Amino acid sequence: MSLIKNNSKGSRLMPILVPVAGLLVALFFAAIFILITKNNPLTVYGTIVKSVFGSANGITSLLRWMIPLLILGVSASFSLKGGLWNLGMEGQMYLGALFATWAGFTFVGLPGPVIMIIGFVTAAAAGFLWVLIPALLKAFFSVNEFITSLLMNFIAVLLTDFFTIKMWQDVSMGGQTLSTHNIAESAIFSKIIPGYSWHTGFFVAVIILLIYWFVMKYTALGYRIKTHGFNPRFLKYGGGSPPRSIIYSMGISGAVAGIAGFVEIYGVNGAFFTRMFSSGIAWDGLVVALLGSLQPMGILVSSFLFGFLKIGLLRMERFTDISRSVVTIIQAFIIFFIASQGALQTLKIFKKKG
Amino acid sequence: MSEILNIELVAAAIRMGVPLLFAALGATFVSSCGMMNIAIDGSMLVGTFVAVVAGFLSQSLAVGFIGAGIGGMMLALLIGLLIVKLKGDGIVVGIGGNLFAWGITVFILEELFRMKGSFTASPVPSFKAISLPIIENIPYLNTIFSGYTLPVYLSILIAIIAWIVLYRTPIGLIIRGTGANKEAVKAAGINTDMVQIACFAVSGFLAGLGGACLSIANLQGFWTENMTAGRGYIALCAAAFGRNNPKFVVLACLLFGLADAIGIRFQVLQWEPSFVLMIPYIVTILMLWASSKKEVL
Amino acid sequence: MNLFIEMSKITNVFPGVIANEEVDFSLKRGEIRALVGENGAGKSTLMKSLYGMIQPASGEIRIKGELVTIKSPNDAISMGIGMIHQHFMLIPTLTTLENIIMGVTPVKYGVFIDGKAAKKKVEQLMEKYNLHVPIDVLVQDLSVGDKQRVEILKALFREVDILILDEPTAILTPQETTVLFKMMKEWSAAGKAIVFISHKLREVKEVADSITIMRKGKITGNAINNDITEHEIATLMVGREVSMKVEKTIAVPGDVVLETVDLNVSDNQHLPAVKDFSLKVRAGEIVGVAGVEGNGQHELIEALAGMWSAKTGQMLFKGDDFTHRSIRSRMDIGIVHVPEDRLKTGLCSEMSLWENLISGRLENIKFSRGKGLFFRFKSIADFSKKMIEDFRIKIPDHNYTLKTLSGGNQQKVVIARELSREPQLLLISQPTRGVDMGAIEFIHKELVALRDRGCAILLVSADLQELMNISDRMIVMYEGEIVGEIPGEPYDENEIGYLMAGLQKEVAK
Repeated sequence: MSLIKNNSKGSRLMPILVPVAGLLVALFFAAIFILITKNNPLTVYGTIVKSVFGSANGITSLLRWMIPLLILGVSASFSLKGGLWNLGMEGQMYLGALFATWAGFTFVGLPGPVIMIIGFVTAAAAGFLWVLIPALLKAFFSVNEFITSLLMNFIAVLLTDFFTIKMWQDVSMGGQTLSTHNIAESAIFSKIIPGYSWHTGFFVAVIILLIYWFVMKYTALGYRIKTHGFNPRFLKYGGGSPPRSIIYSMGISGAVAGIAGFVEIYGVNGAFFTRMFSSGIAWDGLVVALLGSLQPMGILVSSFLFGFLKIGLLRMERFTDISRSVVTIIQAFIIFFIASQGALQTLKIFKKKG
Repeated sequence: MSEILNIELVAAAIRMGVPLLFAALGATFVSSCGMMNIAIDGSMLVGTFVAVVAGFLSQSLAVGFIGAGIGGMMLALLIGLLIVKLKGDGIVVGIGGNLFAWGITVFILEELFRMKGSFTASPVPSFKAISLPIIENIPYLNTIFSGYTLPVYLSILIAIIAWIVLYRTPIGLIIRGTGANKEAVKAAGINTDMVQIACFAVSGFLAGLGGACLSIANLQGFWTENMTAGRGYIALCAAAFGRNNPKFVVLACLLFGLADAIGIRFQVLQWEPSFVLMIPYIVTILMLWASSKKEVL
Repeated sequence: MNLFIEMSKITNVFPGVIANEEVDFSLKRGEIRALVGENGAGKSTLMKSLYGMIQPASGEIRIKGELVTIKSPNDAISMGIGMIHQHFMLIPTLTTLENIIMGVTPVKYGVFIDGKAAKKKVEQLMEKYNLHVPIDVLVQDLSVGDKQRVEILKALFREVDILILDEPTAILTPQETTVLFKMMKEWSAAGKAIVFISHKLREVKEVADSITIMRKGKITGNAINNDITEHEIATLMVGREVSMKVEKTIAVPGDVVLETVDLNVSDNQHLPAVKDFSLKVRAGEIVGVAGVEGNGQHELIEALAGMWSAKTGQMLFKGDDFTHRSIRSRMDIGIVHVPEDRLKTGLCSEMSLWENLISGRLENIKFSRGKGLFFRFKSIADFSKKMIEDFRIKIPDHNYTLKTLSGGNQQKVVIARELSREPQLLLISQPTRGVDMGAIEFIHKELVALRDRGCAILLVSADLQELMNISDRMIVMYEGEIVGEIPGEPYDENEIGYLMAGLQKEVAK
């Protein structure tokens, strides 16, 4: 697959250059759409930069949004490295969040950190079990995981609707809110800077990124996932098991996506309510992973850059009449940019030699 | 159970299956030439939107319907060019295409019409049911064969044409050959890139028409954000399930339509709506499983 | 003039490689011209640029004196040039007829395929050129020879005057080759010109009128057939004197290492591919498996290596049954496998050299701590360097990916990794396919040395010359069965050819 490139000498800087270039290309195309809205793109971009980097509130809010982006970026990378498409991250995140919430309001009597650990494990387990369905179908019946995992999103979201409304609804407000009970206060991630939304879940995200880096670089597990991504037959020939690799790579991806749900609940929301994540949050993770060339450094850089762009544009919506859908369009252009990178490289080579 | 399993159900299945059939026939062309158009869903979404918007602006049903096809085709052409000419990864480009469709429809809705979430202007011209003469007076047959909107009859015609093109014409031979061994067809002196891009265009056009069925035939001119709800992916599965032969694709779509229709019936019985809405997705996954063939490494 | 084609100063460039450098080539009416050279010498590339599949970076092509640019195979065909590729350019799921008429289909009512007219025209062609193939059968069900005839019919259907045949004999039995040569001579007598790409010198001497020799993208010689010897051609091809025969002593077979008892294996279509196969291979001998490709050799090796499961029967390693053991446990007891297709199975060309070398030994204490938990990069690097030296792999360092390596160097990586496992039983398939002569020599020597260290070797190859050169004894497979056993040298090529073609009964007469 063209996405996964080996990191040979000349490409050390690639994980940083690609996201920057991708961002610039996307900004260029986004400018066209901003022009349509009769705004000046440069003014708009200037305002975005100011609104994000001009205040402590802006910067911490960007860092807060980096948390789910980083975790979902790692989640997507685990499956993509294995040559697999886990497009069910949204569903896994929803279920992770839901069951982490359940743990959070069920074990209220326990000390905070213990509840957090239980919540973390439940969320990871929920994500893992949910991705297991497409993973097993892929591993043992060669059913295209791309479509099954994607369709599982719709089922997952409907399932959380059911649990929230029919099982765990918080009726204290007269049953008007479609949300669950709140989790124990003691289990909520503390804020890094009091008064701002950036919370200690950030360190969970960074640790997850480090684990990804370690697994891919130093372990046989990472080697097998990577080999499966390039050439499953070669993996089998070397004594490995392709089905097992599929389950590892999809399974870890699902568990990590579940953890993203846990961090959102325990860091920000405190309770689960229906359709709480913007649809397309999983696409964000995919864009971060692809833009970062699946490299740890790249994921970090692109979650920052993409986070900036997204948060900035969403904030823009409050001040101007620019539709938030520009974010989605930009995402699309970033993806087109990544997809045609292979072509760009080929052209460069031909120019040199010809 | 008789409220669910009756002759009306067949008619409902057909109504639900037709939007899928358009898109699935489109997907069949792309799969036959050896590619996969993930962005079928995007083309469908563009179709749903253009049908309503163009119909509203022109107050012409034909403009809305054909416009939907052209809108879907434009997106598919972009996708096809990126994949075939720029050698982009099919899945990545396809995902980009679906996101683009989602973004651009909402953008136009919000920026040009100043509406949020759904298109609320009226009147939007939409298809009315047509009663077939003679048949409408025969019991049972009238429920199954009569009283549909024009696109339903059109879809059957298009399925037949698709089959003839793929299996009885030189072009079909080239398309199927390209799918089985692109290099071989290229070596026989045919511009296979053009063949594939053309297949993408056809698929987008048909998916756009399928989208139009959702918004101006099954509904009377109504549009909401992301209203395809993954139907494009289901259409892809239907094409795969029908082994890329229009004859079987028709049956597959009927089956998916049936799943949809049964779901709606269960809602009437006060079943938990969340579970009812899951039915089409679960059926699709099960069908994919049933039709799977273990790959040999 | 009688010159059909004149190519002058053709240069073809691929990323990182100059495939052809200022090459001149010409062809006369009625001529059979052999184009010889090693793998990677640029023969196919040159002809692909004549056939419009690639555009030369510079140079001129004249056809019948007229300057032309050939932008696509379509252009080439309309100028009367047809090409039969080394890998068949056929569509297996379509019929013979559909394959032949693809792109030049007769139509009725303006849109529909006119099956009758097409069939009639193809049948006439079959009569005229004496090329008979079942016409309504799917190409995937045809024999190799038939497939090649379909390719030729495809070209003739397009009324070409010049036929380029790219290594046409690689997949034929000696007898089928003879038939092909007879046909080639008939066509040239009928005024068609033929380019015959090959690296088999004996065949070139047999059929060609004149010979062009290429090395490293350049022409190193042009000669009339009778004016040049095989030895001279070989020297021009390789650029130095080559020993065409491997030095080896007579084998001293020891105990039985591999034994199969009534082994049955199915192919991936669930059809029987290996039938009641019983064979013994002893320590210190090389047993060659001859046969036309697709007669069960692939499935046999895959089953023995554990890539594919056997249906019935037993496989014994030094008397122990390993029929149901995993690939990894087979590796552990010393069964080593060099697969036929290095790019699909033997390597991962996107990964670096060291990553390729540690495949199958990740948990080895030498390469990782805690059974695969933490790689020891230092000792992996040392090991990689040793492999680069011992097997003379041309690569800048062990962090480089294998993508840009030549076929020969890639094959050396596979051989290095597998031979360093100290095999007791080596299953090796097509060890020198697509490999340059220098590497062939090297690999053959390594195999003989391994044999002398007491390893049992089962060697499958489509190259009969290779088998005759290094096997200590040979078996011939036909439709999944052993149809002949040849105890040792001297080998009679004709006899083996008959056996390969499934004609053992006639031999018995």
